[in-house]
This record gives sequence, C-alpha cells and structure tokens, in this order.
Amino acid sequence: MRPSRKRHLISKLFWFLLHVQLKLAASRSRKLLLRSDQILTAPVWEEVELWGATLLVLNKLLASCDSRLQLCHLQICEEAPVEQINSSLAKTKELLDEVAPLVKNNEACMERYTIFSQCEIEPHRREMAAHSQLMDDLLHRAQYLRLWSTGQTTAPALEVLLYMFVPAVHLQSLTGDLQEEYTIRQIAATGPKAAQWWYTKQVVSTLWCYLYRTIKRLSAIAGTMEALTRIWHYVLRLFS
Amino acid sequence: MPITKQDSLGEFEQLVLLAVLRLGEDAYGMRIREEIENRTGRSAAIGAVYITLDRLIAKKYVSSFLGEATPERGGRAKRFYQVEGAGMRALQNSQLALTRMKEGLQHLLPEGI
Repeated sequence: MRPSRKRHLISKLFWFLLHVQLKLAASRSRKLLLRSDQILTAPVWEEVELWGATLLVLNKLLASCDSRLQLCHLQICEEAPVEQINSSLAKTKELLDEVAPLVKNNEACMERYTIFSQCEIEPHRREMAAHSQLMDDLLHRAQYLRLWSTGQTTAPALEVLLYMFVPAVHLQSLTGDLQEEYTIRQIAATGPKAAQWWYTKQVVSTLWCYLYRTIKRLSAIAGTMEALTRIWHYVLRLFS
Repeated sequence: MPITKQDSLGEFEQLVLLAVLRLGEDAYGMRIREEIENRTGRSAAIGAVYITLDRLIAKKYVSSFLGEATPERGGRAKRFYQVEGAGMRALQNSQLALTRMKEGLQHLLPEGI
C-alpha cells in the first residue's frame, strides 16, 4: 500500500522528533560509557585485584592449618623426634606470620569494595538499566512509526499520536486493542464514519488520561519541593 | 479488623478489579473497558483502564502476561490480566468498609442502595 502525501509529511515530523530523542539518548549513552570507563579504571580495582588473589591467601591459610595439624600430630606422638617438632613449629610460625597481614589486607579490601559497589557500581548499574529501557522504548516507537508511515496498518491516521505519547509498556496492547475494536466491531456495527469518530474520541481521551497523570506526578514533585523549601526556610530562621 | 490505607481502593480501581474477575481468562484492556461500560453505563477511555491496571500491578493486586499476536490487531499481542490474592483482599476490605459505613443508615438512604 502506498502511503498518502499527508501521512508521509506527518511521519517526517515524527521521525524528526524521534531523531532528536535518539540524539539525546546517544549523548546519554556516551556519558554512561564514560562513567563505566571511570568505574573500571578506578584505583579500587587494583585493590580488588589484590583481593582477587584471595585464592593465594586461602591456600596459604590452608597450608598454615595443615602445618598446625602436622605439628599437633607430632606433639601428641611420643616417638616424634624433637628436631622434627621444632622444624614444624618454625614452619607453622613462618606461615602464620605470612598469612596474618594478607588476611588483614584482604578484609580491608573487601570492606572498601563493598562501599565502592554500593556507592558507585549499583547506582551506575541502575542508571544503565533505565537507559537501556529507554533505548528499547525508542526502538519500539520507531518500529511502529515505520509501520504507520509505510501504510502497513489499517488503523486511522490518528494512531501515530499514540506511538509518540503513550508509554512504551502499554503501546503494543493499547494500539492492538484499539485496532481490533475499530476494524472488527466498530466498522461493522456503526459504519466507517462513526467508527472513525469513535477511534478519534478514544485517542483523544487516552492522550488526555496520560497527560493528566503526568501533570499529577509533576504537581506532586512541585508540592514536595515547596514543602522542602518551607522546611529549609524554617531551619534558616532557627539558626539565624 | 481495621482497614489500612494501603488496602483502600478507588472507585474506578474497584470497577476494574471486578471486571477482571468477571472476565476471567478473557480479561484484556478493551474487554475490561467494554465490561465496565456495559454494566455501569459509564464510558471509560481505554487509556484510563490501562493507567488503572498499571497502578493495580504496582500494588501487586493484579498480574499480567502477554498473549499471542493476531493479524486483526496488526500483529500486536494482547496483554491479559488476572487478580492476585492481595487484590481479592483489597476488594473484600473496600466492600467491608462500605457496608460498615452504611450500617444504620438504611432509613436515610434511597431504596436499593
């Protein structure tokens, strides 16, 4: 099906809007990647590498345990020669002296690593996840817009507004529901003109619902900000 | 048993929950909207239904899953909804609150309420 000129022009406008969003998302991606690089090259990783040598520490710990065990055996064995006991004692002491600072260093590294993970890695991971969700959303919108602009959908032209303004999580099911109702029931029951009017009403009221929700959320943020400002002024007055 | 604020449901939330319950396995956006419209005579935008369902999902009263894509929907899948245990309890509490508030007011209220 060849799309009409009007549809072509409208889709151009929406492609432009999507392009702007993609540009913004790409710049955000670059920032996030830079942050990833910063996190990966943070000095803490050297410590973590040291911590990564935990296996060595554990081996040494095991060896020291082995050594102590042997020493115990020798101690309780009446026939054991004194020289052997003394040498085992020396070896065990040596191992314990070696292991003690390693274990201490290890614990400190782990502690620092936990803080680093909670303060840097976790928030960054969350931000990356939100960003990848946003990229998925944009991709969905672009896919639907392509269907619309090439005339591959039988729904009225107004559908394009849904692609742009309905949250991506509802996009598939909502546009599918409307198209099904429009093509299967409304046209058959009321005729094409009335069905078109029904579709228009649904799109406009749906967009209004989402707009109203956004306004409500923004006003909640504004209300919180106002309350915080009031508290701040109160605190300032207390200390002035 | 006291009814906490978390358990309370708005009027439209109750209608949506009841419609999902009534429709059973066939509960998806447009059918829920139709059910509300047919039973209450109140017209509802499909967007309002989806926003309410979203809120109910966030409260864990309802869960959803994607069905299969069909050609009459332009290759788009339906999202089906079902009421969870917490949703049932919330519904029960809301009805209970209403009943308690009506107690002793029968002589003031019009008949049938």
